[in-house]
Amino acid sequence: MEEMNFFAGTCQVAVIGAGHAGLEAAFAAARMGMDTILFTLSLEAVGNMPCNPSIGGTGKGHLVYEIDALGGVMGKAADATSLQSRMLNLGKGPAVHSLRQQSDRRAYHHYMKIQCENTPFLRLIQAEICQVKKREGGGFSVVTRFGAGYDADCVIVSAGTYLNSNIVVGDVSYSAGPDNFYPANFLTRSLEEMGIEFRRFKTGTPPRIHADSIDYDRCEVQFGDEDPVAFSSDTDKVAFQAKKQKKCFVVYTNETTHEIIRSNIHRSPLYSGKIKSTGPRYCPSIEDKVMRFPDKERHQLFLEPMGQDTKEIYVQGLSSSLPEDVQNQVIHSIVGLEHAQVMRTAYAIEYDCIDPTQLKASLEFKDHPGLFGAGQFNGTSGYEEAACQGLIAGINAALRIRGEKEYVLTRRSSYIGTLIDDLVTKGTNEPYRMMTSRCEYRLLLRQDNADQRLLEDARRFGLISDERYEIKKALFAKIEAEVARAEKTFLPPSHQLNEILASVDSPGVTGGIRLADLLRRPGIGYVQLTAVDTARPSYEAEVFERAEIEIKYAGYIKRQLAQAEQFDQMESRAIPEGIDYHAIEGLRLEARQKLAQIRPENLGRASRISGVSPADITVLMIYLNMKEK
Amino acid sequence: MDFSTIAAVSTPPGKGGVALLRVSGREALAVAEQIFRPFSEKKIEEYPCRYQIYGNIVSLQEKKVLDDCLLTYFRAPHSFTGEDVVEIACHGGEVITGMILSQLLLSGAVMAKPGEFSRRAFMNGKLSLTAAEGIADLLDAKTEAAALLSSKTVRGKLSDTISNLSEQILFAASSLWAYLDYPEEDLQTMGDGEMLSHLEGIIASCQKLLDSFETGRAIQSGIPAVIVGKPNVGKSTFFNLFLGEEKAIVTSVPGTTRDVIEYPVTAGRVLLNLADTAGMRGNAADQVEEIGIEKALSVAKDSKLIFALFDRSRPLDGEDEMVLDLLRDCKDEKKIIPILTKCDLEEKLSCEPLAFLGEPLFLSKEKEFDFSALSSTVERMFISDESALEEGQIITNIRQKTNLEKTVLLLSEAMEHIACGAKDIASLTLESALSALLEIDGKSAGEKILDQVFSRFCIGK
Repeated sequence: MEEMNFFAGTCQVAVIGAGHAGLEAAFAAARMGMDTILFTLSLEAVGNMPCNPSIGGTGKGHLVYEIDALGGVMGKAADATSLQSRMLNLGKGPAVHSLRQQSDRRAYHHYMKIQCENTPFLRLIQAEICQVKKREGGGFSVVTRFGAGYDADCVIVSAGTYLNSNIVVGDVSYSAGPDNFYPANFLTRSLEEMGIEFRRFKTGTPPRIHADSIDYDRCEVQFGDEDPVAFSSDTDKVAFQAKKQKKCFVVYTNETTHEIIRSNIHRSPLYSGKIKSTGPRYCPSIEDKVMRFPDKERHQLFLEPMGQDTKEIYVQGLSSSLPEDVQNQVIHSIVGLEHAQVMRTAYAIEYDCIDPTQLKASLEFKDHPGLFGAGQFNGTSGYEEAACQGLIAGINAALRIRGEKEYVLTRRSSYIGTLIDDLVTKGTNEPYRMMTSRCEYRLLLRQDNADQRLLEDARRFGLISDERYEIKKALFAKIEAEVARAEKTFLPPSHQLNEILASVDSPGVTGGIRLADLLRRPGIGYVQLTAVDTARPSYEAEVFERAEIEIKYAGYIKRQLAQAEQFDQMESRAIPEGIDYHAIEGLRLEARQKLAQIRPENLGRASRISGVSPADITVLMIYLNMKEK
Repeated sequence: MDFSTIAAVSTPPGKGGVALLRVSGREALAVAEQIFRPFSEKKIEEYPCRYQIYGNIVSLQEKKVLDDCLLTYFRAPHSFTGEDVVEIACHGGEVITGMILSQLLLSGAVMAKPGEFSRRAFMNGKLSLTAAEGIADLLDAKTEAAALLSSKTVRGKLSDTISNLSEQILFAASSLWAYLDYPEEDLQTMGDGEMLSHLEGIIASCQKLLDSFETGRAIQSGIPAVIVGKPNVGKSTFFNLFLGEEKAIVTSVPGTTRDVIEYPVTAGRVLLNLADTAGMRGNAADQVEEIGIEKALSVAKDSKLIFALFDRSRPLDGEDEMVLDLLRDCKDEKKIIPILTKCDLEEKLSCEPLAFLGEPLFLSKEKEFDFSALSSTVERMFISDESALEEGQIITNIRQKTNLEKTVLLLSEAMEHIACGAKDIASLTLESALSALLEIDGKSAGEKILDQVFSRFCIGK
């Protein structure tokens, strides 16, 4: 390993890796006034999308909204480089509405690089960090491959899938980062020397093919939404909606495809035992899908554009580590892709990441104050999951340097809080992906109210402009006023109203009825009631959309709030640091070991650790009570 | 909460060939070692676990040999309680077990509270909650049927039923999760119609289990039953038939039975908490008697089963009419068995006005009463589902019942939400239903649904 041979300078926050986590971390720290250096292996790799060319999706869309609410950059970048926008899960309830945008990946990279170059207090430097060393008297020193040493008060490791990474295709395996970028082969060992524990995960990406080699007549078309919605509150809605959207296409595998895979399965490194690391269950390779679900007659594949001008097309769903010749057979067996020309071969990639239970909810290492982890380095998967962690790590690094209390989002506050809580209390056995179903408070944590949930935090950290704050406050006031109006406005019975109700199979009314009660009926919304709701104020559409959700869901939201209060009580019971679980009588052995390993910050978190039973929590609670006396 | 090492004699008091003492807790071995001397002169630890070691129990102070016995050491967590456990099988007899127990207590163990071994087993994850309850019921069982049922519960029959139901909810919930989290995949998730009928099926199964509560109660904790009839109709005679011994004072003087006496008795496999009441009589002779009648009426109100006695040797009179009025009022919510008494005398009662009560049973002082006919009538009334009883799919306590009712309520709510398109609320409601059901066995839903999603659906986005 390279030793430091010259002192290159100082900074307050050093961020290692300029992917989606590192970018948000660096922007947040710099915008909170910290002198920040963002290190990247290659300036060409800043904000790279080595896998799917899209941002958002179920659960992930929620994350992007929350990132935007906290003043993060991902939503703005996605809007600025959007090729197609789709709101998923419409008609299934507002809590699960999820926005996804196809992105121009080169434009996205470019947008992020320009942002870095133009952010005060932020320096973007191409260098491989090989060592992180604790300095005597606090702080760290990071050393580059060329021996340049930088001192930093805090270090955020967001190295993505670059650590000791290996690309695997068939029986070929070589040391490389994603997209054949240079791997980082030194940092793991340096961190291991500090006592940090690593594990090995695996992920993969599908092939890219040339657009002109696709037989579009034999593909299904998937259009974007007619009224596309943007992620960021700062995005100009009119300009965004005026943008022409690109199409995606759908094709399917067939029995021939499956037969090719089955007869070549022995050549898959996943099945031959060459790859031993853990891959994500929600993103299986095509060979996994075929072998694990032999009854499924076909698997759906999406053809997604990689950019505005490029002809490269991403084949969503065909991730694989089969040898190239088999991959080619597989692709050509698919109707519509018979003559597809492959531009990039699919590959699996193995990499080092940490067990995230070594972190606190602030994403700081429990045993290494000032050192933070974020993104795929922490065992997650996905750009959005990475970005939100980067943002939280960046904020917390800045708060630590200022000597302020750390910023922890709870499960009931946000998807981000849920994600981090899952990571640091439960850990993960596979690359962790966000899903709506992971959030028990999902009626409270919708995309539409992310700004409301996080506005004050964003303001406190100075991550949003005063102007945006005022606009939001005015918007929230209007929503509140409209909800109040709906609750106290009575609409008289009328032929017109009953006709409207009859049209959605809703019973008619004979007396006056509260506007809010009408809105609570299935199939009835502001749109239907325009003609009879004559005293309606002239607010922007967003006010009515959000008021409608609040009115319709009021009962359930109230119920969830009550649950959330119980949750708060458990979360507020702090467990003092340095508690000796092995000395607590009555705790089961497994619970002692788990608690001692994870060191939860409060009782609520302790209760979510797998292997800790309700009885253990009772024991712990009694112990804490006795100790307090 | 107490984390001391506990000890107790586990076999019942009295003489027997063998008695068993049990010690549980982290000091179990240390406690036993102080008073146990293996014949082999090896240490207990040198033996493999769960090996029966032959040796002497020696008193702590005088080092007197008290008994020879077999000692078994179960190392945590491989024991009944999940803690270190030592079992000592000695000769049966209250004196000798008492002596050994006091030596154990002197060596540092404390006396176990009732049910404490099972409670520790539950806390250490060795027993499901229903199984733990089953053990408590088994120990409390007053009848053979109750013991059989509890033993099925202990062996996890109810647990199996609950986990089967929870699998079905899990199936629906995971389908909904997959549908919500993977909207663009062509997953074969359930359609609304299929989902609704699936949930309906689960509700029906829960309902069936809820219906078993009556049977469970009939067998486990007893049905409140009462005997009513005018004074001197033969209530105490009938009552004593159950007892087999004269616990109530039987005389021919009307109104002797002034207070309510209640006894657990059995009719076949059904346990009855049978109350003997004051005779029913129009004009109370004195204040005390009046209180007795009022009490009788209130007891009748709280009961589930009424034995209505009528004197066959006399025509129906005003007091009988009073009884009939009471029965007419409550015949829909209570079970009634009419009994005709004094059948050894000449029949003077016209049975017409009693017809609405159903087939009567006959009782005479001299003749042997057909108790088996009574038993089967009672069993038919309260054991509604023989196969459920056979399978042990019976709930026996209020806690289980409340949770099942909550499950049914939430499942119906989920159905409403699915029907009107609020899938986000429906998915949460299904999760709550699952938690309510799993709570019966002290488990939680956790990551279960997610694991189901991935094992059932081919998800690749």
